[in-house]
Amino acid sequence: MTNRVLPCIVLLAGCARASTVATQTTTPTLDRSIAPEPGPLRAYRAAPVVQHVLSNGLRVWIVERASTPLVEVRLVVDAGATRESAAQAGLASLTAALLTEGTTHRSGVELADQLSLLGAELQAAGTSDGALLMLSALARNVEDALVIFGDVLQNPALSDSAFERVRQRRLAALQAAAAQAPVLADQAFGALIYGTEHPYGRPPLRTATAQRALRNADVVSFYRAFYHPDNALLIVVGAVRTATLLPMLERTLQSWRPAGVRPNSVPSPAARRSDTTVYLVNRPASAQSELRVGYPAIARGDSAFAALTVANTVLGDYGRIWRTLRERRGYAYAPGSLLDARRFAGAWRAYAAVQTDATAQALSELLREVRELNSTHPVTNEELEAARGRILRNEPFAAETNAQVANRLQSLALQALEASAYDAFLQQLRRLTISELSSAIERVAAPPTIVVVGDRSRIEAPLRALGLRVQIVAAESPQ
Amino acid sequence: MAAAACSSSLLATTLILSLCSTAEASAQQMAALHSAAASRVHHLANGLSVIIAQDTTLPIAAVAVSYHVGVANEDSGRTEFSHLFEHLMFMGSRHVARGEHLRRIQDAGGRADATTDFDRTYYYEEVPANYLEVVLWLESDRMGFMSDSITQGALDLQRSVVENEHRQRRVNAPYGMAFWKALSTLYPPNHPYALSTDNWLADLHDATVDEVASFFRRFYRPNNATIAIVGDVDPPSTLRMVQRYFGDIAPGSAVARPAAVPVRLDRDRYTMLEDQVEIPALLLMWPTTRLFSSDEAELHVLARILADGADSRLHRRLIEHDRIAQSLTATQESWALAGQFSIDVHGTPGHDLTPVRNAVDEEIAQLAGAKPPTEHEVTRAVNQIERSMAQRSESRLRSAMDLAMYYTFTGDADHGSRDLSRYRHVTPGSVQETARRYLSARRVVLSVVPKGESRLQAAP
Repeated sequence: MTNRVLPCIVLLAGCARASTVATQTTTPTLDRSIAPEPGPLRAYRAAPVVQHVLSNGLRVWIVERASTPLVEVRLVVDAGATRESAAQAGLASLTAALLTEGTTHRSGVELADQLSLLGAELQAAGTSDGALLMLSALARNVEDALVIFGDVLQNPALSDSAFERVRQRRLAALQAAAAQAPVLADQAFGALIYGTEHPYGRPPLRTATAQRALRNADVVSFYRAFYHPDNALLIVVGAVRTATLLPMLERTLQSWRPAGVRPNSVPSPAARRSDTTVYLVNRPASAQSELRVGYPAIARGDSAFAALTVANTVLGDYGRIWRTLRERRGYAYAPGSLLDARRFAGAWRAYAAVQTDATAQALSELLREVRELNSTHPVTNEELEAARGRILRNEPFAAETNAQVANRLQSLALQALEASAYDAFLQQLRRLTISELSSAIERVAAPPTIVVVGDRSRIEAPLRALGLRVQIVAAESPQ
Repeated sequence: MAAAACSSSLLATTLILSLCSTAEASAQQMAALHSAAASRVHHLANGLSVIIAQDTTLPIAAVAVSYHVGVANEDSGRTEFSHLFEHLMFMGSRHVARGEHLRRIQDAGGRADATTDFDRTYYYEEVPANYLEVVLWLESDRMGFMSDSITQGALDLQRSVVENEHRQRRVNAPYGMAFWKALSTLYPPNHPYALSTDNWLADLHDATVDEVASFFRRFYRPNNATIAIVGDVDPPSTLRMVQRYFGDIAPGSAVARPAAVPVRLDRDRYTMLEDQVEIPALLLMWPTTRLFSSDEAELHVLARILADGADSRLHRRLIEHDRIAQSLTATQESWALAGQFSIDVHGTPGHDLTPVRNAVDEEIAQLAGAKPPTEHEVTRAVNQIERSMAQRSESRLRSAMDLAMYYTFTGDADHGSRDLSRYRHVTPGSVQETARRYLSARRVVLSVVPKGESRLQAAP
């Protein structure tokens, strides 16, 4: 690639260094009681996604951005937890983690050493909907970094010693997770919504016993079954040119062959019997209680996604929950809500970490906000317009950094959507009506699933005094 | 606001480059480009410093208002007062109703927040560029007319929010107090960075409306602030707009700066925290040096040689070879008055931390003695630093914060354009010499152990 010098920030010139701006001014006296009107919104168009298919069948999405001398590469493989059986919980993320532990040509330490020398970083991760191999590199070294990336992908050593080392690390991670109240709350909520046999409902590593039952041979066969170009998608964002990048990719990935990987499908979670019970996980001496209140919701590809995104903005993206729990009551620092729409199913939850002595009051406020959205206090036209405007005007902020651009494409790829799906979402959002919005909320609304993680000795009685049934659940033991 | 109290994340662990660079520009080219765009800092008559940088690649703008005040300016017995004050800055001002600031920025599709650090407090917004004037109206109203809104009710509410932030981020989070406990052990009670982990919530509780008002009058004046604007803005008209909104705010008296006090420990300080954790952890902390002082670049490179990635020395020794650790980090944190170097190791459930400390000490002794850093290790570290600087420069908000930071602490907003050259001058010899100078001195040794497992702490 050739060098181009594009100074994209120019500091204000024309005044002497450390100049003093003249104090006299010809503008009329400022009336601060009137907020200034914003000028006209300036046009913004997202950089195009160039799409290609390599000769081995690997789909590639490229976004050329010359603004910084960096390149971000993401390989998304349909080899997440949805591809493993419940008995093999953790196998998908274990396989991903082992990729960067060494290849048949380079030890783990050599990999790290060579990447560092290039100013590059390579990480692997397993999520419920896919495995990720992520490279961040200086543009001038991208070709050398891609050679290592290709080696990691095509020739992982998957050695017994690396397997044992990574398994030990994950056993410790299981223990560390058990100490975190937010993790306990999310896991208990997921288990209730999806059931513990569903890949979205079981804890990612389940138990130490489950981890000890895994064998390196399982990893090797999982890798062989799913790590193929016809089961993956590559995203490249940054200071690259498609014309130079494609031959580079053909070269570095030439021995990676398709294998007719079967399509992925996951049964819908069993329909949950709804009840308004507080599932209480005891965490003695907890300084706060973690609250979760929510419903099973929709998969990302569902036509109600735009409507529920707006509903979620109104409820919990600095919305009603924030104003009630934080700005009126001071019970919580960062309360909100999350629409977690994944490839095969989803959930919608309100959340808060609240001071222990206000647990019952805070839960009662949270329940009220969640219920009122579908009853006495539906989304108003004004709230719809505000939320729609916020999301649309926020668009250019998702394109500041290469990582942001790559993240959005990566999440579409994980959900098996096309690169154009985000534009389709924005179109839907522009057209969304208040009646579509209320029917989407009505569709998912049910008696809420409630989880509280906190100090039972201090919160159980106040929770019962709210008139709610309280059932004590054991956090799944990390053993 | 939704911000880090005394966040250590901005000035400290991340390296900084303020200007956007070019496709494939080498470090030298980047430096040349930035010094060509030599920085101009404008001063309003009331003392407000103004820095404007244009970037037209996206129709957005970032504004950072940096007040030169932080933990270092807190009175003793007032731990976290500067952060509590930061929250009150969102409770409205004479012409802006409570809640209006955030609502206007969010309805614009933007974001507003603030962070308090040891030496400075940032208030910031990211907005579509056509909303710039709205931001200037909001920020100037709270700089000029905030004191009207300081009421007991506002104070009580935000105190409760800050208490919950403290619980969520520190008390209830595993290891959440470790860094603070080590800092409070490192800095003596008469040091500007002294803080009390034991009296944290009590100190917050004691703050009064009068103290809030007087803190505002002392520190929240235009002559103690810098505003940096980066984005799709026209520099001359933006400067006129800043003059229009901020020009009539009265200056305050000159702010006395706490002196830079080097810290020296007369002996190793062993201390321990019992926490709701499963894995014992060891935090070693040495007093080192402050922001932009001569050894700072070496300390950043040293941190990477010791602990950045699977090829780093401590990783190879403790994780790969000895298998006595799950994860580890090393960090040089540099603030305006002092700084510290930390090594943080998560050990093995049920295992004593003494062998962990011994292994770390042996590796440091090797590096300072028979196994000095190699050219290869230094190059690796500097290349990683170059990438992290370039990544940081992608964000207009980070760039605005950095322009204000460089100006506040070096007197030169454009200093970022030369900052990478400090790292280019680092040699294996200078890293070794720095390691000898600082890491052979007395330090804090903090063990974090599961409740009831004090036997696991590192022994003196």
